[in-house]
Amino acid sequence: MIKVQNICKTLGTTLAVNDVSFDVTAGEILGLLGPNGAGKTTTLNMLVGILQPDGGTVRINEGNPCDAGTRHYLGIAPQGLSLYEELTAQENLTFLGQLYGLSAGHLRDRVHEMLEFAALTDRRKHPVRTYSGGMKRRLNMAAALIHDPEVVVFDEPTVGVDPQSRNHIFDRIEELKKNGRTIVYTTHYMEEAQRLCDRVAVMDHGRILAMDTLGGLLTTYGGAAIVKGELEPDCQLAACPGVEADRSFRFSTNEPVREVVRLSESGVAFKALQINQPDLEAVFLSLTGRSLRDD
Amino acid sequence: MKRILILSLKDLKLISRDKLGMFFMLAFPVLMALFFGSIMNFGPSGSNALKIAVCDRDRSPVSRRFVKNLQDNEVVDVDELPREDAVDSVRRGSHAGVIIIPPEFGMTAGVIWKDAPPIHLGLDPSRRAEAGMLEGMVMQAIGGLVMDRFQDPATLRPLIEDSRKEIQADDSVPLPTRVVLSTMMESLAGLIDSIEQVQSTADTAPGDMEQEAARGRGELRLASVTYIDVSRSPDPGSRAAILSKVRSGWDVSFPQAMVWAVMGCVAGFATLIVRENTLGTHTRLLVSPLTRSQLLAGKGVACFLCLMLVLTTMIMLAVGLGMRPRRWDLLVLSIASTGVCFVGLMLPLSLLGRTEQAVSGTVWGICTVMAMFGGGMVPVVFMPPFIQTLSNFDPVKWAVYSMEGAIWRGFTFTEMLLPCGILTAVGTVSLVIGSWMISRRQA
Repeated sequence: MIKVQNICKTLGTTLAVNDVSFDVTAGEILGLLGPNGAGKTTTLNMLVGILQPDGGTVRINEGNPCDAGTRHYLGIAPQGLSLYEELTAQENLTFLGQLYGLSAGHLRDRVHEMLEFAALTDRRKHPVRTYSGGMKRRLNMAAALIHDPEVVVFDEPTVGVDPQSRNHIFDRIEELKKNGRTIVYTTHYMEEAQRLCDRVAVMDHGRILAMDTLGGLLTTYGGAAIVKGELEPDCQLAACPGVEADRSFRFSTNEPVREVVRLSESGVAFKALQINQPDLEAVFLSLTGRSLRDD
Repeated sequence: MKRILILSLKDLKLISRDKLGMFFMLAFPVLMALFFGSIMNFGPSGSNALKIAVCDRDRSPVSRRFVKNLQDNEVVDVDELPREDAVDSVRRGSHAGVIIIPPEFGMTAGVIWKDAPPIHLGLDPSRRAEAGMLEGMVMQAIGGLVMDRFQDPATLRPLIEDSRKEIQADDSVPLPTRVVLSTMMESLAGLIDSIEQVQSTADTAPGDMEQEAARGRGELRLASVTYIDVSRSPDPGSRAAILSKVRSGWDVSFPQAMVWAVMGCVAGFATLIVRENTLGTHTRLLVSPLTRSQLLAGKGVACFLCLMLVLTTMIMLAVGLGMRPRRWDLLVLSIASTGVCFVGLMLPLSLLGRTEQAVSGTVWGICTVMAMFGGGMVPVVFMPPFIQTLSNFDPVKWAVYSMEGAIWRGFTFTEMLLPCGILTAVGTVSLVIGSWMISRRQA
């Protein structure tokens, strides 16, 4: 569905994207994870044909996204709210649907569906400038989907959104996945990538540092799980690794649950127990030597 | 084309919801046109007649005839007022002079052998030069009364008879003088008889204009005056000659105000283009199945349609106020070429900043300077020659000039080709440069 090969882009004097390649198959969600300035948005802009790569190729359904015909397959929810604030939600959606050449009846149905999708049916005749940040984000997504595209690109769709709207957005994206849409999703929130993405590409300084399924990345770069806690006074202290004088303990293992069961069976009694599984934060730390949210 | 229209309609909708933008596009130019048009329309009147107030306190048929004689004179403009009002109106400067006709004016007016009838004349001291003229007008009207007396023998005959008796009975007059005066009265009576005879003869063959003239009705002329044409005929290229074609203040104020409306549209749409970038809606449009040419064309068509709507509204308003364009077809040509010119200019102007505030401020700054030099504030005809030369490089000048050409200058189609050609050329070149700059920036 999407084929990106060795794309590069220099913006001013900065090499924003450097030799990036990836494929996305139909119905898959690929997450681009990286801090601000990693090159995610520039990569997306080349993916949807807004920017021409200095080198390399992008193909959507075998077509060049710079061609108007190929862009029929594409929908984008840009990071900035790309909405006409003086128009109502209904007018925004109708205008975009008309641009994509939807017939009058189909357009009416799609506008109705997208207003439902964004939970804005009640506010459809209010100007967008009167909406909350979450409402605008949802409408921004709906605008990307008005023409029912096969490929949808979400560029940090939850920035500045309240938890309720964030959950609404996650639900809608999962719904899209169920309906077989191919999605590219950029974020610097690892929780979002963990929840939504089939595969994650970790980006930094314009390059993809690693790309795999979530499990694959955790296995390869996340390291072992950390088990820590405190033991009961009268238990078999010697059987537990990493015990301190105050009976607190900390050790790492690739199979934390099995190890805890084994210790319990050998007479170790836990007063407090905490298992820290490896996550994308750890993956990013492992790949770059710094935290994802250092900036 | 359908997509271009969809884009244009969206932009028109957006611009119509921008209240401040609409104010500068329509309300401000209309207010400007009304303000300056009113100043020009209600300035000094063009009438050259001497305005006088008349108070007829006699109200006799003879005094009414005297007033009518004055009113029939084109040189004076007569208003009948009560005495106090008439005097006050001169003091206030509303009238140049006042004529008060006292009671019993009709007893002796037009009877040449009796004492001259009393008449009171008041004149604005600041207009003494016109005093002699007014006195002449009064004498002319009295002369008319003398002629009227002779043409009405029935009323003149008793006056002659009374006068003869008075002369004969007046012992204070020396006898020889009485004889002379009595003889004169008899001669007058004979003259009256002759006039009556002539009138009765004429009445049997009515309708002959020459006979009517021979009877001399209404004619008391000491000289036969004819007028020769010495109307001012200034050099056709002079300011006076140009301004002589202006028929009302609206002729001048509306073309100027229409140019401000055009500039309001340009500023509004230039800002709209930047807003597309700052809001990110431009990104969405770039991802839609539109070509970049269609995107630019959408903006251009929207701006052009907006200009046409605003200008048409202003023209309709001006026509409602009394402006009458000499050539409607040339006016359409003028506003169309003005539209092309300023739509073209709008594109490069929209690139003069990266924020709405920067572009709006810069565009208005440039437009204000263009309006200053191009006649959007003061008509070019009133500017010194070197500024008039400079204004040739200002599209505002050609826009105003072409509109004036169609509205009051009385241009022919050939004469319109120069301003309209320049406007179209400027618009086309700007359009090409603007499109190139926009695509370069986006790349």
